[in-house]
Amino acid sequence: MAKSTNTKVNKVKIRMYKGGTGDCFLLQFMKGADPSFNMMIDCGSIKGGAPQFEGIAKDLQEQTGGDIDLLVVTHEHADHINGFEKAKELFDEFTFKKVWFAWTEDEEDPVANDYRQNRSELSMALDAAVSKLNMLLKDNYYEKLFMDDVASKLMVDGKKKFINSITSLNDLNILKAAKGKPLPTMVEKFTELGIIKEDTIVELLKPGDVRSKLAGATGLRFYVLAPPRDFNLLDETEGGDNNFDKRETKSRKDFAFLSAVDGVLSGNANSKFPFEAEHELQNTQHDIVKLYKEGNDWRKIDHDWLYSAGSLAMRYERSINNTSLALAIQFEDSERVLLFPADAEFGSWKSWHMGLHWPVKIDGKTVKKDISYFLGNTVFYKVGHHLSHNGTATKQGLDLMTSDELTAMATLDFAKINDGWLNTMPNDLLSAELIRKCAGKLYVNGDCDKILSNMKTDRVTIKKAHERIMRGLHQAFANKNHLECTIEG
Amino acid sequence: MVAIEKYKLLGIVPVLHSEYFYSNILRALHYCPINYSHMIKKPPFRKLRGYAFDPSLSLNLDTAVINNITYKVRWEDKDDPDPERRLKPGPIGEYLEVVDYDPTVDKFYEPVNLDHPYILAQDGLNPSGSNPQFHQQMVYAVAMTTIKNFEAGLGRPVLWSPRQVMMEERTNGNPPEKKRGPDVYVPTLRIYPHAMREANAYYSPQKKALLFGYFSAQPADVTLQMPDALTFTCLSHDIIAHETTHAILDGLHQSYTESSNPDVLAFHEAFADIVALFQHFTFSDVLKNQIAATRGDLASQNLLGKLAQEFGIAIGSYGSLRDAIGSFDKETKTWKPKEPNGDEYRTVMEPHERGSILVAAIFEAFISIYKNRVSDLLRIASNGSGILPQGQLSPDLVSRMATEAGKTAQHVLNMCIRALDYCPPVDITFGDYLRGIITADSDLIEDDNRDYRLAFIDAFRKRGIYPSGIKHLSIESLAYSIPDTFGIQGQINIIVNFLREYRSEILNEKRRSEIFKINRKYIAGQYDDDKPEIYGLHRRLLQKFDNSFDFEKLTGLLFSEGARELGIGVSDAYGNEGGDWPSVSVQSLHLASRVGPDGNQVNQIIVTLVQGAYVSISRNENNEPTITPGKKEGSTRVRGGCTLIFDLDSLQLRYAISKPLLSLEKLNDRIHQLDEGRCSALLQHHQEMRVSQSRFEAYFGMGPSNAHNEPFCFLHTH
Repeated sequence: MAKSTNTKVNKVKIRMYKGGTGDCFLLQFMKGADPSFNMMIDCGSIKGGAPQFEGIAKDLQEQTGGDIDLLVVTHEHADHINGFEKAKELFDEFTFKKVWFAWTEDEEDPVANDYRQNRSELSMALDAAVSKLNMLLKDNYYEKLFMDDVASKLMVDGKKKFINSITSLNDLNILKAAKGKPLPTMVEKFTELGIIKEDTIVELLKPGDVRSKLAGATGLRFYVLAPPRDFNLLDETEGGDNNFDKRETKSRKDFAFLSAVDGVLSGNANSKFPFEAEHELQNTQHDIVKLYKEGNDWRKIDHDWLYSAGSLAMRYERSINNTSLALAIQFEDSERVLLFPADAEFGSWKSWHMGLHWPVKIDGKTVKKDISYFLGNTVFYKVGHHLSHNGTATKQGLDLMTSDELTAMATLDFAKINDGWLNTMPNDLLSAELIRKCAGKLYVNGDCDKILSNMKTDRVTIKKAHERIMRGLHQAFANKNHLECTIEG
Repeated sequence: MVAIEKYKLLGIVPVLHSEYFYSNILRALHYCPINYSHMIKKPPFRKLRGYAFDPSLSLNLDTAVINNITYKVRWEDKDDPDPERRLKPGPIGEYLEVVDYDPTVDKFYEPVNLDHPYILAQDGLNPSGSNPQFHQQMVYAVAMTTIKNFEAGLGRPVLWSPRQVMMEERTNGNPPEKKRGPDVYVPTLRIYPHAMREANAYYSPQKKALLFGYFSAQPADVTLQMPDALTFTCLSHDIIAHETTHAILDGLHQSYTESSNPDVLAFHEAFADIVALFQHFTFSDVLKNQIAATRGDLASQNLLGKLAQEFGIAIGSYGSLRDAIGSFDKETKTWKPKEPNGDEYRTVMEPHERGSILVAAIFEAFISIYKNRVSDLLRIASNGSGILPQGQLSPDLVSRMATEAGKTAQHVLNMCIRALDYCPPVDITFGDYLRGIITADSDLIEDDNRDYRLAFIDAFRKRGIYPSGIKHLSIESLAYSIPDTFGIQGQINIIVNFLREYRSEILNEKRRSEIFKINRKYIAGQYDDDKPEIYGLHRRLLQKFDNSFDFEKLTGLLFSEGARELGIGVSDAYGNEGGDWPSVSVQSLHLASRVGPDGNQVNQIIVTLVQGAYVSISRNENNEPTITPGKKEGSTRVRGGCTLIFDLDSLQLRYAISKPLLSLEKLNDRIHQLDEGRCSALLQHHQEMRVSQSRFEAYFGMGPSNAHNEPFCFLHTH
């Protein structure tokens, strides 16, 4: 049990666990040498197995005695929550006093319900498309189809890569809905997992909220930045200043595609057909049917339409990233800020700047401050979305983090990563800029050397001195299942 | 007597109610069918109604009148004596097979029979979004129109890119071995009007097919379009013409689907847009309407310069998908003309955006030529001031200006199409294309009295597009020069004589399958037992020019032993088993027989050669790139190629347009070495593509060196 006295918290130990691309953080806020407030943020990893999470759970147990004052569950992706499921038995022993979710998990909020209802159809369509595509791989469909083509191997490889990527993107989605029902909320999920027990306090937070005076966390203020209440922002995932991103258009839902995937949409069966039945060809022996079906299999298009699920899966991933509960945690006296945006993408970052103000205590007075104040005071940054380009806004984000004491932690590990992410993480420009701003104090939870070599492309320069510092930080934790830094309050 | 009967029948001789007369009528009627079948010729065209743009313009009061037009496509006959050319329900004809299978619901839609008397009687089905048979008619009409325009420019029939296949080969009882087989002729491009449910349409080089998607509209503003309305890409003239052009271009230059520099895919996109755009100018009513609406100023906002309007709005833009002359400002919600700033070519890399630089350049050239051509009309209409009075233009003036615009568009489009024969077969850049345009035009039209070429050069210059390897910018330096063939003239004469035989055989052949066969025969040779033996061009080139440094300097390709060391594929053809001779492929062979406006005729044979080498790049201790030839894990294929143009009249090698695989500098010293500049440029480009690719490509793509995975699908995915 963490001690609670009247003195203020004056530093924090931030522990980032290793074991794959995915977030699991322990923040121990200290009063002098004693931890007074245990805060945990997420526990998940792509392709993480039970043994690894058991190791993490044991370490958490050692550090906290199994008493977690506050658990923050940022969003529903597997790489943030699957640890609770995989090491369920160990976590059963824990006490989570308070759990925070985003407002999107509120089953009494009509906006949230509407959003989850839409997503349940998308998610079922994706599931159906992904399982159909995987059947093709299992049947060696493509090997047969492209058998006599000169580029047969490249073509088969291409299809495999596509299907593996979409499969692993879909694996991120743990929550599943029944037909016609909205997706379950994470409150339901975490109750089912036994994390939320009878006396656990559950809070659902929305942008603009502030929490302070939590027991054991005197002198700390928690500001909620996101997820935004506006759907359009949830769908916005890229900055508009880049040519390559302009082509990605938003799509909450595509009726045409969804309705074609069997059994997904409820309602009139006829609504899935684009034309009246009278236009359908009745004669199954018609020459055109024979032309299509008999011979020349390489020209067939039976399954190509399922690839549309690729862009759907991608948009779905991003839109869920934008439901991330993004927090700024502040030491009241020093005004220093720890920034935890989870996997928030551009639309979320942008929304922080859209008329939001938070009451801040400065010299005992309450003053309204906007996001640039918090970014300017940020001394610790949990890098958004595993160092991908869209997880950290530039002009509306990193450029405003001006503190010369910045430290950053990022969860990225090539040993365990989503197939689709391999090409987008780490983003070289972002990484180089981060390392420069942190003067080398950037922690990653995968192999530091490997990630560094991926950051060093032709278009960026990383100072040798910074590189040395970064490698040094990691060496200290070479044989541990975590990395840790201490931030003064 | 016979004459009188005929007049009677035609009603000219007064009708007399006599038995004699009736019996004569009956007799005449009896013979009628026979007589008429002699009198009535096959129509040259089949008239088919369709949208000039897309269905959205038919819902707009201002544009509805001009949007429904009648396409005139070549008459394909259901009873053609040649079975390959017969028109069948689908429509399936000589060039196209429309297969309306919708895999998303596993349904075939009734194929349209264009020869049904009711359909014939009303110039095809009425334009309608809800009738899939009309969709089939629309894709057929537009694709056929696009093909016709190409054939007019190229001067030869369009052939689809052949299928490259492996064949099992069994030698002396050994287990069968898979070997590259001869390319397979693909008679028809397949068109699937309802292939997927996505805001996408693409040409599949692997399936030799166009796939059109449909989707629910998600307009940014509900007053622009009904939300969730089904939008069919196969009803857009621009999208159909664009995709068909991808297919035609692939038939001409198969390597242009490989992104070996930032321009290649952009060129594919740009070219497809250019064809779609200039086809707008062939719709005379649309053209007149727009000339009247813009008072003759085609550089101001007008329908002709816009591409895929319905699609653009349906995916949430405020206007068309692309616009050659302007763009819609999201902030002010107004249209404004595009001004070249000279910087785009260096900074914009995404293929569509980059392609639009080329489109804008070509369109500007067109506008300048058009302005020049109508300047006299404007002076006549304005009493010499050149400034038109306020108010509407006289219909006569509109009509004359429309004629000029139509003519100019046709000329510009033809120049663009002809230039394709004068481009290197691999690794094209916009600069190469400009040189192709200028060279092709200089060859055909000696007296450029309207300064067409200058208009092109000027428009390219304004966008900072300069060809590499020229000392200064002028028509003379842009046009390729006649290569120095001293030392190999004897061999060239032999090749030219062989090509003359080819010409005489191909000249009057109109059947596309025969053309393909003859091309193959002359490329690969004929070694069947029952036919006269012919050594193919491939064999002749390899044997006549083996170890010829002069020919290697011309082509930039290796024709000597020592292939392995350079990472170039080894050929065991013609008794070279186990040797170290390089493989080189003759990608295409065409006859270009064109007549210019002055009556001068061009008789040329165009041969394209391609050779590839595998290389890897690493950095040495000084961080300098070093290139190691050889195929291994992670290596990339770099291609060299050369377009050889032979003049059959002067027996000359007229041009050798080369992307050298070998270093020309080292060849001067008689050393064979890969062109390091091109190798490192390729690797550099691949690296840049990896960092700048869209998230979709990054997630699902195979990277730039795998061009075999629906490259256009990836490009077009939104």
